[in-house]
Amino acid sequence: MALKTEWKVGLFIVLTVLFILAGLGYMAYKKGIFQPENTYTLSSRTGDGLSVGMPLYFSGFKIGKIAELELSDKGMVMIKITVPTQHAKWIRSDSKFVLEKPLIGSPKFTVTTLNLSSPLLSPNSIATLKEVNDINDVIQMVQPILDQVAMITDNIERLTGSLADPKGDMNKILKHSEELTGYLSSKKSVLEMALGDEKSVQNIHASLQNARNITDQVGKLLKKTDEELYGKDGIIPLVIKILRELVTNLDKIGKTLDNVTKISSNTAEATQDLKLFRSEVDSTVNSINRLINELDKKIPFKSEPKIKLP
Amino acid sequence: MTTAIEQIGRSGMHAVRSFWDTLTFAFRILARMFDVRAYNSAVRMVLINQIYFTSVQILPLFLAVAVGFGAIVIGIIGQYLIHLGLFGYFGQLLMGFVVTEFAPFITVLLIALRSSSAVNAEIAVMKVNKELNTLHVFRIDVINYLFLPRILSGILSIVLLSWLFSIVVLVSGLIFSALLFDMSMNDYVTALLASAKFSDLIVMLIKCATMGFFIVMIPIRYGLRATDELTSIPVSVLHGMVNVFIAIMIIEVVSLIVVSLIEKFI
Repeated sequence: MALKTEWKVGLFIVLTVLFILAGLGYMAYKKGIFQPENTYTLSSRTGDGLSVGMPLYFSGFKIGKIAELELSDKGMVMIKITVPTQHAKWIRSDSKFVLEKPLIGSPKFTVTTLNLSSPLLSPNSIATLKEVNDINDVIQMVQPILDQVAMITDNIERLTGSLADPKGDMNKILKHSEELTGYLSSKKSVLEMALGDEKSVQNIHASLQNARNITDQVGKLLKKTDEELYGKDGIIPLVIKILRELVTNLDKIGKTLDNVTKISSNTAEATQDLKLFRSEVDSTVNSINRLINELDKKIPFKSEPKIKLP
Repeated sequence: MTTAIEQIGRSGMHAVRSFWDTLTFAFRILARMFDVRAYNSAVRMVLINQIYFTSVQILPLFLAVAVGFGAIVIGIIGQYLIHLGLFGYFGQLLMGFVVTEFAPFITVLLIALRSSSAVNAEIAVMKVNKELNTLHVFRIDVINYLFLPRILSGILSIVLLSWLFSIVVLVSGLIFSALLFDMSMNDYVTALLASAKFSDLIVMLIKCATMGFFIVMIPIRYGLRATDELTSIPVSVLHGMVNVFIAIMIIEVVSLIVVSLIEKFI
């Protein structure tokens, strides 16, 4: 029984330990712990944001890490990075090492290689680490705004100082406003507030009354003029009527003149039509006279037409 | 009022004294653990028997629990992560939660329920039956013969079984991930390896060893507190188990603080 128990316990321990070691070994192998590594040295002006164990990314993939940080005799930060040999092909002589410091989040250590046909980076050479600092960029962009904000703050400070000062401009303005509103509140109307004198207000009222009367008179006059010009017995319909008559008479004259032409060609026979012609001419002259008389009566629009006797 | 304050003070002093006695006892056991002369053939025999009772006998049940819990936990975690659109964190959750937290906790619970209570009752019965006095009369060191093998067995069992639990859970996770989430073996392994850290595994190892030490040492300590009466046996087991669970919680919290400090400063 004792041997059986010992055997079972031994088997349990051995198998479990083997499982554990196999798991750890697989994990270590997959994580590249047993792989040979290349060590490169970089120099940087500052070690701010860098830390031992910080991963190195190439195209978003972790290909190495910072193994050591030390300060050189010249005050430069020397960064030793280890990269497994399988990833060493991504690091070339013209590769750029960048430490990105985003505004939000932790810094990121990256390497970019534009030309993969360049020679591999020698472990003995010292590359330079470039720093891209979003915070500084933002500060540079924000600095003018901050200056303006500072100016605004100064102005606000001055304003508040002026407000706080009993003899300051703002207090004077407020005092004057108070006096003005007190003065205005004692007036009966807005017009009196504006003019400051009751007599002037009365004058304005009288002027407005006169203006109203004048407007009424002008209105009446315009109405009358309209009636005289465009009314049933106005000038314009009369002129139109006379002009129509004139046109009719002129037609007649034209016909008569034709007859006269005939008569002149036949003088002997035409003498009998002269009487008729004479009467037509008289009629026309009379119409024109009448028109002239009417016009003379109407213009210049006298209220009572007067007939000027010869 | 004065009596109440006195009672609080008495309870506080009792708690501090008890805690100090437990620590003193723990240091005595630790000191003996590193003394090679303590490991004679009788002690080795008891140690093997204790490992057999604590680890080997429980193995079928333990493996079944590991497979079952692994499938359930991985299924639930995976479903939630898919629902939240965070399946990319599957590996981190498996390593950070299942392996380093869940596996030791379940293992410690199982061992505490099965073995700690047994050790507590065993020591209490020996105390009531005055077997400890008999051993003392025969000049047999009870620490070497009784306590050390049991505590060593506890440490070894918790460490080995926790790792075994993790391995079984991860293997069952591989199978269930393929079945439930159509995840390839390569993706699964890559996700796990990306999240695995040796520092976490070392902390897990230390945590398991510490838990193994205390979940056996505390029941022994409370077993020794049993009086000559048989009724004191269940009382000592009750107090012992309650303190075992308190110790488990304290060790869990301390380990979390240690892990966070390691991540912060290293």
